[in-house]
Amino acid sequence: MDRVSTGIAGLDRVIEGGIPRGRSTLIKGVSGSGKTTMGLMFLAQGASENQKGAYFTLEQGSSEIISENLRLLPNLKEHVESGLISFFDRSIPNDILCKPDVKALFDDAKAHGNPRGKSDIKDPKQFEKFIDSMFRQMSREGHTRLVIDSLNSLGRKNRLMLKSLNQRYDPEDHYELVLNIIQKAKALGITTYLLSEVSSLTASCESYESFLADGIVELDINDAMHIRVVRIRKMRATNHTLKPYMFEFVEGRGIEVNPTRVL
Amino acid sequence: MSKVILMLVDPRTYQSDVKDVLESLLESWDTSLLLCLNSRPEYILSRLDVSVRDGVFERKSLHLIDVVSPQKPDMPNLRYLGEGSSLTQIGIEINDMISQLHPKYFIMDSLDSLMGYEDVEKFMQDLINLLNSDSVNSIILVGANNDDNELTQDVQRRVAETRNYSEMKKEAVGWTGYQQA
Repeated sequence: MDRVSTGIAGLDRVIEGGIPRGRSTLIKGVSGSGKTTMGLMFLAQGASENQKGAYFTLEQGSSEIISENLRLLPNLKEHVESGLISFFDRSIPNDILCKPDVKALFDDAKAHGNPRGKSDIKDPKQFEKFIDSMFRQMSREGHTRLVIDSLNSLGRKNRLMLKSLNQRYDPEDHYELVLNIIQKAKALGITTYLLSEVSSLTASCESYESFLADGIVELDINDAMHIRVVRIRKMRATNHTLKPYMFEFVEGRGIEVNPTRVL
Repeated sequence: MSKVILMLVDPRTYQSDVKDVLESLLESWDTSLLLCLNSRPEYILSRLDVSVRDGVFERKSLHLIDVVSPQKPDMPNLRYLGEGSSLTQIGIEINDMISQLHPKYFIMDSLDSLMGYEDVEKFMQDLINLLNSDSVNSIILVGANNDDNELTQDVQRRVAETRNYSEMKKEAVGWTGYQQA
């Protein structure tokens, strides 16, 4: 089984060397548990092997994500500038309300309403089309790793967008969106992290995302003991335990998992 | 009726504003010609929204003249002249491409990059005449900090309109999509 390293040596050790290539893994965790950092380390590992990766962000801007993780991952900026890590940024910038229609400056565009004009702003399928464009570009540029941050944001934004267009939101649409991502990534051999925020791992019920993904890695914060833990809940085609392992954030090195330190 | 517009852009938000201007024009998929005098074509395209970038590649709607890159980039629909090209060479290339393509939009990035060239006023006069005679909707970008420059003022007298992109942003109706839901 061909595997790709997570970029976290201790984690690789407990999943037979890494994630099966081309598979999708749900990285599930509470706020602040390290999902973004784990995703970036996955891409940084790829970059260190000269593999291209992409980070698709829906809520936090790419420059913010980079600046917030530079202390943990000092090579991150270099990987981004070299083009080995790309960001597909679909977060809302602060000045989004101030985007003038430049075409309207020209009389014929104004007069005829630019019937050939195409903007995705009012298109209820805009997220599906954006994802399709993203995969086409990834395929063209030879990307092999992808992080989606996050499935919650994707569902939330899709729902809000449809509401603003007076379109009915069907939960099946989100299922189809997630399935589309997983299937496209698999077809292109792109190993994918799907980040998913939960309010509590113990309280969260099984979602179809858990069924669709090939693997589930859970990140949690144990407030009573002041420690962080990672657990492999599921990983198809991989021998693993369900034991929770302690991990730390280490400046300059990111997340470190010590597989000998089991909770 | 087409026109040539001089667009003043705040140098502090130049790259971001130029990205928005380009996206606004390119997302219609009409044939456009971009004269790159300031930033490399690869850099400009990498900043565009992926759906716009993807669309212009698939539809072959964007053509570029590159006067910036030290060597020819591997990009479709690009005419490479390279740094150090003369105004005569640039003018010949623009003429050639406009007569072949009859683009709907022409964008020049940027007028600032030509400041200091000899006979640049004549070059701009000929260019504006060409764009008007071929009915090309055109945007000539210039840093707002150069609005009192002689060349800028000369061009301003020749074009149909001068706009300030920062002012346009303040007046804009805005994006009424899901953000306001």
